[in-house]
Amino acid sequence: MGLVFSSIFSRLIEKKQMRLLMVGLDAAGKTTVLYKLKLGEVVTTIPTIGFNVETVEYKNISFTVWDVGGQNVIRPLWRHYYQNTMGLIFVVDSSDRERIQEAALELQMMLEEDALRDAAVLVLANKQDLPNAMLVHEMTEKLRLHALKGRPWYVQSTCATKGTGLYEGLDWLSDQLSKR
Amino acid sequence: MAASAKRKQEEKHLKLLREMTSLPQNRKCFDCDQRGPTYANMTNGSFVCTSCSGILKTSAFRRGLNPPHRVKSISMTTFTQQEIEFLQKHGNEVCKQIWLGLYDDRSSAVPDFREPQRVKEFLQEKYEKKRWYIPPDQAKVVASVHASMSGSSASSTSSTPEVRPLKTLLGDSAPALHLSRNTPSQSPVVSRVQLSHQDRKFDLLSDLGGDIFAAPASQSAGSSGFANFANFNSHPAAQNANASSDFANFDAFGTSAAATVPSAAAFPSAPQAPFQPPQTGGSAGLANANFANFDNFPKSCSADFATYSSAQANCSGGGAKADGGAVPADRYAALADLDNIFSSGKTDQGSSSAPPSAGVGPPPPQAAMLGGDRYAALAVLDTGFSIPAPSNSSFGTVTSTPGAVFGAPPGVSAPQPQQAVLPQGFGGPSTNPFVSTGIPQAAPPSNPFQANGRPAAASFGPGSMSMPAGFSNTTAYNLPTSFSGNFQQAFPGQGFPHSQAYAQQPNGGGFAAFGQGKAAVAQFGQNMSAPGVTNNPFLAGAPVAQYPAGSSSTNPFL
Repeated sequence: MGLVFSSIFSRLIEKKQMRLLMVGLDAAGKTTVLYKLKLGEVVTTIPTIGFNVETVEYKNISFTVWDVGGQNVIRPLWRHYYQNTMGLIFVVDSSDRERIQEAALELQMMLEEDALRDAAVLVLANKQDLPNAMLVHEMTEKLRLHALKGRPWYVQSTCATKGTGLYEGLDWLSDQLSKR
Repeated sequence: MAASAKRKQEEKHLKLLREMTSLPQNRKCFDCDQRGPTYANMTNGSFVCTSCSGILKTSAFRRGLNPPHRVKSISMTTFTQQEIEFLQKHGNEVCKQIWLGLYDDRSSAVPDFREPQRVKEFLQEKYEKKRWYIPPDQAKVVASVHASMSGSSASSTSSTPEVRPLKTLLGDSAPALHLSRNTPSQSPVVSRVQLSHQDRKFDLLSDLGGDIFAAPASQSAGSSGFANFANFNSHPAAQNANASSDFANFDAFGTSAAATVPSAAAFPSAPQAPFQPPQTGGSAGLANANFANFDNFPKSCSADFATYSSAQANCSGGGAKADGGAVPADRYAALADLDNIFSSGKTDQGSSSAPPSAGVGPPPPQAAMLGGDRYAALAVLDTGFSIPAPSNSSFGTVTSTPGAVFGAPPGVSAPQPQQAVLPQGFGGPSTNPFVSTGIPQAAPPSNPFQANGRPAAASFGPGSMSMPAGFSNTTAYNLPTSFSGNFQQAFPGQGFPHSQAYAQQPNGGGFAAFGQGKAAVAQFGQNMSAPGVTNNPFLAGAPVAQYPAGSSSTNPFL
């Protein structure tokens, strides 16, 4: 009886955990996104070497967000974070048209990884405030997301410095979590 | 196959990049003057530190620059051929003329890197408002004018279009250390040197050298730092040397050394044991003979030249060792020997510091560690001479006059002609300048370097940086302290500070090697950066680069 009660209680009270991995090319804005979510403010970041990890409470879900540096020499290290990742946040600099193909390639390679087969993919089309930023549909096309089969994905346009779109992205992720 | 080719290419790029970053003007962050840039600004081609790279790349409104610059980590990204070329064409020096073209160093200072807010404002002024901006085409004109005003010869500037002479940087602030007394007769020597070494490294060196010794602009070939050496004795006999080699300037010193001997008598005579028979320089073989002089040359600068010549004689016999790597090591034999002298007189230490393993190319790191740091000045000369000249011929001759260098009787120098064959003509002559600098000075200091070293301390440090290949960067980092004036105390035990360095690096959990300070909030992986914390990729990425003081200091060069 007590067990039942406590399990119901914990169901109601205990927060769900969701482990998220946030990657993307260097200077996409991952760290800025992370701290905008965590602190609600824009921090001055320096290029991440290694990673940052923060837990973000939102909608009664505790998101553990791993923000891993995106400079190309350290990209091979991303795979060390794949384990148990329930959601992949792929941050893209929408204004960086030169490197969108590079970003697409990285994303494709990652999605081929077995460890990420269950991960939902949230693409943040970041830096929407910059001129000539790619819009969601263009981003979707460039990243060839339509070819993704059997995996939930979503593209959210964001501006990390203003905070627009970030929580919408988390909303989508939490929906995905509740569906499981 | 393709992958390995790619890797090879990347390695090449990395090497080029390291060379670039070890140029003196690229050793400081372009935007805040912090030493040891870790990022390349791909927008304007400058080299910047980690914290400035953060500001530069930040596209955020109110938080960074508009438009943001693109930065790439020197150690954590790969560069394309175009990017490397772009950086080669630019670099801090060129950028300075463009972005700080109207900037007056004297009236206002570049903000301190410990004040991020000020740095940011400075960068906004610099890049957004373009307050000091000069269009590149005009910038070059201005620069060359500036260069010629500050005494650089036209030839040196024209031969190095992409690297501006350091004089433009340092010319104004050149320490007024007038060691050189010009004699017009020596100008041919100087110009010969210039002609034979017109490549950019040499120019850099010479420019720097000029600053080190504050060569007067009136000097006929002002940009050559070595001209100063020629002047050390300002002895008419110097002229003889002109014919002998490009190092005639040293010879100049050397030939005049004969005349110096009498004056050397004024010095306290050397009390030390003359020459260490077990030529501590090790593998140096014949070239050691030259450096043997320094064995005697004094812990206290008190030796007179007679001692040197005898040392030479000894050495040429005993120094030869069967060692395949002997030749390259020769270059450092001088360092090694000096090492002995300065490291509390432990003569056998030298054997460990003479690297037997050197290739002809970049010298072994040990050399840099043991010798380089202490004798940055030598390193400057050494690399200066050996690197820019792919052919050794220009240096060959210099070794044929070692006797003259030290005023040795002809008979003494006779065993040494073989040295001319050695690729590195560095030998004794290049060290002479420092020896000799002590001589013209009335009161010989206890340390032969002191006369130069102290006043010129600032100049020497950067100078060594201009020879990246020579010391594979290691010297560069080691150098600055070497002129603190006290050789013995500055260095014991600091030859290999690796472990220290790494231990103090904050580590991100996943990346043991990539600890990094971070100017953000408390995090697991990265510690807060006290603004001064240096995130130097060289520490993590390249073990060769060490900083004498350990890495905990915010700035390894300070």
